Amino acid sequence: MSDEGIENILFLPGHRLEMPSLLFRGDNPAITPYFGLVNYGPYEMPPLHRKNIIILHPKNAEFEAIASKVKEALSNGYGRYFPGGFADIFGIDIDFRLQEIDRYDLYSYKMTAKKYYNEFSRECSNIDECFPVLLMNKVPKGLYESLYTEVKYVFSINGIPTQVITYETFSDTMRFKWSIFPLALQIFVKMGGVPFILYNRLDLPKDEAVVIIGLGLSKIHLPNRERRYVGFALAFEADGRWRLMKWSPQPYSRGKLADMLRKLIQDAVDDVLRTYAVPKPKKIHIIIHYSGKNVSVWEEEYLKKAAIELEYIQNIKVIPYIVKIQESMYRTYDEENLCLDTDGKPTYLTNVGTVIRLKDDLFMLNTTGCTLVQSTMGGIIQKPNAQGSPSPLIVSIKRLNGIEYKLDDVELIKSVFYMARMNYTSINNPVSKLPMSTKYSKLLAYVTARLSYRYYEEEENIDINSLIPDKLKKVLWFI
Amino acid sequence: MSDSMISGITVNLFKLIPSKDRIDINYIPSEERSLINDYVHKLDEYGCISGPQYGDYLGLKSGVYFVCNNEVPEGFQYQTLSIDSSSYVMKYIILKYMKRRIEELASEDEVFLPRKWSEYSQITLCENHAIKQSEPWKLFTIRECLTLRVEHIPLEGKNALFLLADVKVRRFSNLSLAKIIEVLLQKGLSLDRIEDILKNHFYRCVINDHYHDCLLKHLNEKEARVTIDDTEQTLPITKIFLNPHPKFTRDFIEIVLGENLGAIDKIRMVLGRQRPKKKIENTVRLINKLLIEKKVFPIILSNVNYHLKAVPQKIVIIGEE
Repeated sequence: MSDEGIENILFLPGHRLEMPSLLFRGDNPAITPYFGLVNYGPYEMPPLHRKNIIILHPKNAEFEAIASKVKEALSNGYGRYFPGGFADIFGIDIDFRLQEIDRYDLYSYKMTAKKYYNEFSRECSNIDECFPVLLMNKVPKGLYESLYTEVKYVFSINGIPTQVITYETFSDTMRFKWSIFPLALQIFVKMGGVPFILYNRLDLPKDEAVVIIGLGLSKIHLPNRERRYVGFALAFEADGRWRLMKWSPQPYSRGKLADMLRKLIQDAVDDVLRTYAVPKPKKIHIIIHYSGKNVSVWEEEYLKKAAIELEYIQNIKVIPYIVKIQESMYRTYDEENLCLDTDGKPTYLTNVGTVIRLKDDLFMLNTTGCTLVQSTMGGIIQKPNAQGSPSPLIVSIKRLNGIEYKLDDVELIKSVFYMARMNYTSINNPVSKLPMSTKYSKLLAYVTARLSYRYYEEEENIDINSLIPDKLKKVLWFI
Repeated sequence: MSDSMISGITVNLFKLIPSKDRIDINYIPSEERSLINDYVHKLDEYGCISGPQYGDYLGLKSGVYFVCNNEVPEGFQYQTLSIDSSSYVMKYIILKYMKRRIEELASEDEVFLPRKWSEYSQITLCENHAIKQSEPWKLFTIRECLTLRVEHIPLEGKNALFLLADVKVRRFSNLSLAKIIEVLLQKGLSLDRIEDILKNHFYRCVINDHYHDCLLKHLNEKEARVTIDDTEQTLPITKIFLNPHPKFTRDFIEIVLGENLGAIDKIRMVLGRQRPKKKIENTVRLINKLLIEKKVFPIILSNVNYHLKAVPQKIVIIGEE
């Protein structure tokens, strides 16, 4: 081959990750949540049995029509898009009710959020037995103060998980049919159910454990314009099961970030070990996932310092790993991979699970592109899981000096890919673009900032963790 | 064998080819991040082009590397070195040079620069010519834009630099409260009625070049009272912009203002759904048009010319790990 012929070619090391299977009821594996849930049912039922789903909607004929249609579809199913309804799929017998909100004002969001909460409490004699679905208008995602963030806040501090649905999505017939099953799935998860877990695990000896920590930071401007930080950590087990969320107890100044992050990670892992791991592992591998959007370069230095200090937790040897996950502007295609669209046209999308090493510690990981999906009859085919030109994630692995590592780079990349497999918001797309460990950072940063303001409004020594009731901490309330 | 015959993954990376292996460059040694940032800031103010190197990396010492068109300004203790022309630090210097050249093109109305066109080590420039404008009020314009980064990827131990480029069709709006009021007045509505109609939407308010979400409380022909994070203040109506994203605001734009968005939506949808092969072909077309024809490239830095090869790279995965 001449130099001229290969001058536009980069020979780079890479890997093709296999699509991990998901486990459903009876340890039955499947590729797609739709196939697994319809054929086998969820992996684990919610511990607390909620008997009523109350759909709260503004008092208005248009909203009422949408709420009734949602109620009917959740109760009795919606053709092949949600076969059989909630009871058939999830095995929970639920009573669905509608409740009107008489003073709905999108711009007086505090008053309206209170209305939703008051109507819900009035309608439900025991709030632990009810689950609220709140119908409202869509508001801009980036809006810090909005009806959406306010209802999330008001219900959360009262220990109630919520599901918001928007008029804009559910009034559109096409979007309705694709959204009804994912809606039911999210309600099931927020009730504390586990629809599926991962079948494949990272390669480690049996007496060693992995905890994946999704780490986020929320910057808070205090009334005196001082800037403080609150950290939050989501802990997941190796099988993708979510365990808990932990906040740093108080807002910290920049100089104390390393202390705060160390203590936060330590507390989160401590809680996981104390509550769930029996017998205790010999070693624990803590893989910290964080998104570069929320953590700047100098904050990254603090994260490294914090990780180095994590030698032992509960007398168990700790090996920390730091994995930074970013969205990118790379686009790729593979002319050998036809990957046909629904209209039969080739897309040439790169296969999901393709990993390319760009530098020693920097990898391109395709979580969107051409993926394996399971048809309703169980056959496995390849098809695109995204429209247009999806972009891969950029994953960088921050190795720390003086630590004897056991998990190699590919295992760490797998930890990201596996967490992207834990997609509780879609039933047909087996892989989410972002891993569950970092996907909710933005929403959580908003809620965290709200909680911290409340902390300042109340007395000085309240631990932020105490502002969210324990019963809510047991469910994935923030998805 | 031509590279088109080799199977692999095509990527939107374009090779930057230096005319010489080594570049003569000025260097100020420093290991302190804040000091390095200070030097970079000052040198840029003097019209030089500088790049930071935080820590030693691939044979390059920590400090500031820079080139100046004229004499180096007084007060800087520096040395002149000859370094690999594709070193890591050159990615910052080349990007900064591109930024200056693109600013010049914008001042000559050759290209259009969106708000926040340069941040986080990437720059975005757009075609001056619009693909389409909405009618009749021309409240929206769509343009093809190119987002650029310079990437350093060592290949078999040798430094190499690439331009990472991506094309996007972007929609720009002209939805200042001043413009909206002008349209509604032309439709014969009174200011009181306009105020009632406009209160039911979300806005973005600009204060000192920073955008804040805000709500409208009261307005007159020149100013409006708004709330930002529960605090009320008065701003000129040229500094308040309608947020067009909620469906009811879009309905307002189409039904009340009478703007036809169908044609631009259709173009955006078709172009936005392009698969990567077509998209990379479009990127090549736009690179030729905006960067090569308009002479952003070749870039001349010190004793080296950097040429851009407008051919996407192909990645062949070797030795599955």
